[in-house]
Amino acid sequence: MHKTTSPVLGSAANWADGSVGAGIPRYNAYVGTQGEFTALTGSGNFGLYTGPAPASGEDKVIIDVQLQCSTSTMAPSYYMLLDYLGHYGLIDCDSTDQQDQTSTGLTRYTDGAGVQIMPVCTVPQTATATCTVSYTNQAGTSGRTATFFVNAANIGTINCAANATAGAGQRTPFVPLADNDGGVRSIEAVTFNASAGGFLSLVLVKPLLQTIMRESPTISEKTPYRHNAMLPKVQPGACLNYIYTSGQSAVSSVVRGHVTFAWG
Amino acid sequence: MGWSSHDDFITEVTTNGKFWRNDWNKITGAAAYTAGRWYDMSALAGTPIANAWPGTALTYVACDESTGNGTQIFGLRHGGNVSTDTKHVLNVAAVTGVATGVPSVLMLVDMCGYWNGISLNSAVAQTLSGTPSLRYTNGVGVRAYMLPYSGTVGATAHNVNISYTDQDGNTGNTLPVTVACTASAITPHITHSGTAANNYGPFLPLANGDYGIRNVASVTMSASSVGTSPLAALVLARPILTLPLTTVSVGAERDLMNQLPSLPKIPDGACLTWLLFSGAAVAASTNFYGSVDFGWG
Repeated sequence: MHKTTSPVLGSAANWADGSVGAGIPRYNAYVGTQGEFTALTGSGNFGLYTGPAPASGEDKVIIDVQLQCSTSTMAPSYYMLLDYLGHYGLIDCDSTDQQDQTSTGLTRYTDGAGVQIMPVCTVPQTATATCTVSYTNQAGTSGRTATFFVNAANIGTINCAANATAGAGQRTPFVPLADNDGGVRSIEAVTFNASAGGFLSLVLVKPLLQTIMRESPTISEKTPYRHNAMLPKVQPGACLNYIYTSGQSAVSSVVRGHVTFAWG
Repeated sequence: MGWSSHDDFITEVTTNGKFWRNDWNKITGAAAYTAGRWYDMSALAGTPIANAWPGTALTYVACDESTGNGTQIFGLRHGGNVSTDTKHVLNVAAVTGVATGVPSVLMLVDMCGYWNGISLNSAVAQTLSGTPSLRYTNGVGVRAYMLPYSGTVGATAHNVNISYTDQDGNTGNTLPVTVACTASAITPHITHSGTAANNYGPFLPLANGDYGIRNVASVTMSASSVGTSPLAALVLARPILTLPLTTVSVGAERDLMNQLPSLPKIPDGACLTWLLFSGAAVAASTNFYGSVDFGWG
């Protein structure tokens, strides 16, 4: 992986979507049709390349990750590797009408267990608003609702706060789900209570692994099995990329690294 | 039950898919915390949702993974019941991006249940009802703590004592020392924890030789706090693990197999939540984020 730019957080402790950055993997523009779910599948330079598909009956896992940043304003930071399953793009943050969404179904983690909603700013928000998302949970129950809060945000930042009074630096990467639901299968509608400006993409993601980058330019390495007693499984077609939070605010850095996969 | 070898572990969590990852997030409330005190994060907004302490006053409310307290499912999901397999924590991680969020310590506990509606304005024994059906045999390792959740705690000094049944079934045990609650304590401060004289935390000290609680018969305050309808909950919980956060934005991780070989067991139905020790004056609306990985076999 070699990202030449990364979204500016705007404030320390915000979260940002590393897929919205130039380099390898290539920039994710969240292309899609408004009001529809667009599935994301890793292929070529879109998402981290995970290698060839394993033979039938074999599983692919992550056995090693490495990260490094080139500027001091990027560290310390906390990275999470996610499988980006798809997104609902062009969510209009100026509209207070209910924005219905249609879905074709997840192609990975099809029951939605462990799948989270990640609101990514694609056109900057300029004000604060409450957003209510209606979704189907991992048990197949539709009409579940979750509420989060958006603030002024830059492109590529994850604009989600769990608290009405939370401002910049007090955000969370995922929408807090209703009554501790265990995941999301699809989103049915999105409604804002006020105009916040700009557009969001609501991305359905499956968290796989976290990595800590303590300082620049020291390389951070992890062997999940030895360091976390786990072997994160990677499903066929996985579209992998990173999100991060940092103690610094003005971060746009070259971030490089690798992920090693094994299967059997 | 459990794993007999590393090969067995790898097969179970990969091929057999016996693995669950929980990503959680909690944000503190509108009031800053005080350094040296413990706080119950189950009452905070975020993921999971906040515990609002419902129930009939002074009657035990059992808590579990699937139903929470019967109204709010506030515990961390950990993959459901797995018996006859046994489930264990593989690793934990957490981070905060707010400077006053560190240094701090997170403690993962299994909240077995609670009694709510305990008045902090009462100076007479308040009889508790209901018999806890504990997930831990005879209450071994189960501890108690108390926190206000409603009303305003008054500024008058007040101590707490309880009468409880220990792990051997002996009734009428009381706290071995004077335990002072905090005047004007806020939600969700574990009111008897802090840096003042006679503060103990996060758990109430047990009588000589005791190492668990099966049941609590009554709670007695030494005096009224003279607050505005202050109500507290007495919680029974079993500590699972701790995770120190030392530096802002530098994630903390613990591997419970290789780094700290312990693989804490998580019984079916465990209602997992975090307690927070604030090493600094944690600012209002401070975000904590983390993950817990579970495996079973």
